[in-house]
Amino acid sequence: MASPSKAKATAQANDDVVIPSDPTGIIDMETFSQIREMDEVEDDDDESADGGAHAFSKGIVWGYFEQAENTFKQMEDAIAEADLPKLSSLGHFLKGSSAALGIVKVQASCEKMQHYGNCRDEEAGETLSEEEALRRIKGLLRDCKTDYEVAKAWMKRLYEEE
Amino acid sequence: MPPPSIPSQQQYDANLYSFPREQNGWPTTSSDAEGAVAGYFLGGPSRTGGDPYQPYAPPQRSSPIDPSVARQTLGRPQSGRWSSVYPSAATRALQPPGARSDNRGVGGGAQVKMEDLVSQARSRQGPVGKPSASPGGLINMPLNMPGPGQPDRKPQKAEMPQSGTELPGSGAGSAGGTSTAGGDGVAAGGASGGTSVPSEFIKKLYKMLEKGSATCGKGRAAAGGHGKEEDVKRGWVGWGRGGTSFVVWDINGFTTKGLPQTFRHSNFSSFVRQLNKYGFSKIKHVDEDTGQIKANIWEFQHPNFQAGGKAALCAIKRNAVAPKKGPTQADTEKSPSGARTGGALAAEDSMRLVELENRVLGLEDRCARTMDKLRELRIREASATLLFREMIGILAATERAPGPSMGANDELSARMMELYQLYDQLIQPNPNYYHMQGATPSQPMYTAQRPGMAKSLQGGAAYFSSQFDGSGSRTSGEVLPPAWPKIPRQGQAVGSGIGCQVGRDISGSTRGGVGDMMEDIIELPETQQMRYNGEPIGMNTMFFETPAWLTEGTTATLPVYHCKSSHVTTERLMVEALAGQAVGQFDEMQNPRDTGPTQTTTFDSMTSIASSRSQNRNGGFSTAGSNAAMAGPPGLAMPSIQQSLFGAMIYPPEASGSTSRDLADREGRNPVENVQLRRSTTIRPHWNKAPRILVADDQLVYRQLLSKFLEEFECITETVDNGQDATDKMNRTKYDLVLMDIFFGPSIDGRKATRIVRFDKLTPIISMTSHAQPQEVNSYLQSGMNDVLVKPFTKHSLFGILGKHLINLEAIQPSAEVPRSLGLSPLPNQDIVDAGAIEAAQLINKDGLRNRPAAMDWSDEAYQLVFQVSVGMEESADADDSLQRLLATGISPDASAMQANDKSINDAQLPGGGGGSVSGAQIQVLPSGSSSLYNAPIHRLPTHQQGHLGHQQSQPQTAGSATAMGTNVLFGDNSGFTRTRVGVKRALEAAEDSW
Repeated sequence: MASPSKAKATAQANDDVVIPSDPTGIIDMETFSQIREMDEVEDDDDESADGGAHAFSKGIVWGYFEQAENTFKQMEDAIAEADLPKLSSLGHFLKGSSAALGIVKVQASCEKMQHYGNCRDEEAGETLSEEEALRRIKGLLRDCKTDYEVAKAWMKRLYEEE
Repeated sequence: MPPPSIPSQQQYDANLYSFPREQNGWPTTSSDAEGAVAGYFLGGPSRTGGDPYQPYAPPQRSSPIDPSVARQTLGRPQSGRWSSVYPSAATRALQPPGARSDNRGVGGGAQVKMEDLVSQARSRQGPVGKPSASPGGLINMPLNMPGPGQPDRKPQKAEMPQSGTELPGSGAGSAGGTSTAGGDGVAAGGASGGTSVPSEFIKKLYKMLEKGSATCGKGRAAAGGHGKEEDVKRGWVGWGRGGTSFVVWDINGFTTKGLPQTFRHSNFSSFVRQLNKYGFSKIKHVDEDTGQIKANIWEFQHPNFQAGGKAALCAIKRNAVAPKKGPTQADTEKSPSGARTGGALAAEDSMRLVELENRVLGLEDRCARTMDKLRELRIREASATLLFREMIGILAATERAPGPSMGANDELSARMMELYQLYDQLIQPNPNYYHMQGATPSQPMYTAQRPGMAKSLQGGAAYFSSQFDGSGSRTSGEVLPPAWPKIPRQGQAVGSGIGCQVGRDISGSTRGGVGDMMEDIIELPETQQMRYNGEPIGMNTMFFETPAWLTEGTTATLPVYHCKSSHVTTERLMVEALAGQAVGQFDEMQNPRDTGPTQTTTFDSMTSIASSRSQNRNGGFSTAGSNAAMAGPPGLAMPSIQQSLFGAMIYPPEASGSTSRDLADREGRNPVENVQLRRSTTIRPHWNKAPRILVADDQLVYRQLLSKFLEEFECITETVDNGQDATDKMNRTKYDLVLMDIFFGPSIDGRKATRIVRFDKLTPIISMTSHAQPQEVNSYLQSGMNDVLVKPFTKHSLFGILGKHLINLEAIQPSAEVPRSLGLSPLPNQDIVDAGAIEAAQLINKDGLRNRPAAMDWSDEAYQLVFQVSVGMEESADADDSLQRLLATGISPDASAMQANDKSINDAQLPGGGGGSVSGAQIQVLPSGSSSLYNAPIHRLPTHQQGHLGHQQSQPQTAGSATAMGTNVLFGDNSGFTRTRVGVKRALEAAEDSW
């Protein structure tokens, strides 16, 4: 149940994604470029021209994709089980990875999920009922996936260009 | 008992010529030995020991006990000798001369013909085997091993116990030894081989082979079972060549299984060494089927070591260990044997050869070990050298980094050059530095300028050292570190901190120069603040948060650290003053790696200043002057220092017109980026040993990032993805550093994990978190974490953390030695306090020119004069005049001192007008030890001295030589490395004192 919906969502996202030329708001370029910088350094050192260019950051980014999709899957499972604590920790988990890469939108969504999983709406500073939390999380996950797909598409394009 | 022994001795002597000598050489026979001998004689013959082997077999089992016994008896030279010699003596005594000679002859041939030997040995065994088994064994010796050879070995055998390698004593020997006078024990031993029981090693070896052959069939093994034996258990060794040799078929198996089983070690080469010591010789193994020589199969033979030839084992002795004895004995043997029997000669000779060979092998072995050690040391030295070079390179890089953006590159490099030079000069004693400088990219100027610089520098250095020694010096190290942390936090704090430092360096007396500095300082705090606060460079916060670390580090592991910390402080000040590069670099470099890098940074900044100055200024200005000043009496010298300092101070401003200012701006804006780029390419860690780092993070991304970075930093990295694993790992393994995520998921977070493993208080645990609010950070620290690495972190912040906490692994130890030798006394706190107070007072007034020196008894007028001079008296005459006036006023002793210096400087060097100003500048600079001074000039110059700057800049070419003292002083402060620093410090202190 989870995987079909996820697959659908992904497919949908892929179709619909409009790749923004300006990553502002989706990706924190400062953070992301730090990672990219690092592999520039690497490249310098290795003197590997094209082949190795951004190999490091690419590896990390691709690892992130995998991780994120995995996590989305788990989130869906957790939603199916109404396992709020798990959703919270999954949200935290993905939040961290996203933050590391500067994928801020996903990061923000995940943070919310983390709070919702604790039945908290930190923005409003109120406690949520479990039903409400779950409901919000469902919506949040949808948005989050969309954001993720956009970011992913943007990054893929970035790496393909090179 | 004694009576018998004596006769035996006589007998012995009579029979064996070689022995008498040795005997004489030995202290005397101990009662033990005599007893043993006696016992042997009495009981040996009558003894019925069916199997010669038997006697020693039991001892073998009870080996633990044997050693001591063996030591008691056989361990002694006499006893050893006795036993060893004995057999032969006995044999001779018992046997008719003819028989002996026969045996001998056979022995000679025997070595060549193994088969013969075997048969002989057996035949011998047969007849003699019973009561006179010992004789049989003895006979063996003459036969195979050349009797004479035996004596040689015996001694060695005796030594064995000492070395602890093996049990020297054979069972029999031990038995005999135990019952000193006891005829029984001795008798038992005597039967076996009276002389000597086979050594433990030989016994084991023999047993092993017998076992092996028993398992796989003796015939097969002996005959040609070589290859096949591998199938069999124990098949890795076996008899070869019909039992006359033994073959190690499978070295691997033998080493990993056979050796441990039998000898309790797994070192094949030591096994081979052992064999060598016992006179085994390695022979080429010829495959019996193919006739090919197989290199990977080891075959050893010993004339007395044969399948089924237990009795002969006794004759296998360890070779003489003492190299000196060897020859003598050999000679001894030789002559007797030669005289005795021509046939034996060959055998003896070969034996000797073997022995010598063995000895050579042993020596080679030792030599190899020594060489290894030497190599290790060299590597260490090389790494240290490398580190130095790297640091300089970093400095250069850091300097250059901002350059590109500014377009001030060339200038900077020139400065660097000068710094290099100075540095070089200062360090002259150390050849490495030269290399470093040579190695450092850039600066054609360097070489050219160097000679001149060297002179001045040397003079300066000498001066410093002399002065400083005399003066009560202080080591600020301990005190300062605390001061540090404060600086960054608040602008004012910074100011005060600087003040403190300045105070320390300059201390009360340097006033004049200080005053100027102070003024400058006023402006600094703000800028600094901006930098520190404004730019969150990953580490900054953390660093400040955890001042304790600094102190800890200081006190804890590194003796060097004290010096360093003080240096760091100084450097820091310098850096701040420089502002431009300083902050950015400082944050990254200094904080993280308290020692090395920091220093480097400072150095860079310093260098840049100096170089810029030199460029802008007249080259002639300082060198000679500084020299003169230095050469002068202490009083003069002091001023000179000030001058130099001042000059340094001034210079920055001048340069600042274009450079320093830019630098400052630059720094303010994008310190991080510049630094980062730089460092990423240039910085490489140099560890004494690769740090072992545990990364605990549930984020794959971070694990990847971290392991990547750490790999690049040449660290050994392990990663875990949860707190439980982290604690498990830390319980099992000692890490040099742990990077721990805070939020680890549900069960255990980083704080908890840290608390769990905090029984180990030494391992730095760095929390990685994106939650770095003060309270949170506090909680991390309270849970036992040492520092915080804020996520998302950069490679550089990571590197900084590593450098900071793994300082003990950095390969900079060598530099530690220098400062220590100088033995500075700790800095009195009072000075710091005073300086801080002064600084604080001055900070209050931020407008216009204040007479900072006033605090130091300078009149306003004097101050003004100095200031003018320093700031921008363009014409030397003016400068001179002003100085004169200043002196005339007699306001401060400093002034006079300065004057003297100035004069000397002018006289000596300054050709043109520029020089005058320079000298003045130098005077002011003198107090500079403190960073505040530096800072001030930088900021101030733009405003006040643009014109002046322009002027100076017009004289870029002269730069090279100009630096002299000022540079020196600065350098000293900066150069964290060595005595230079100390020297500077001392100089400063001395200056203080004199003031």
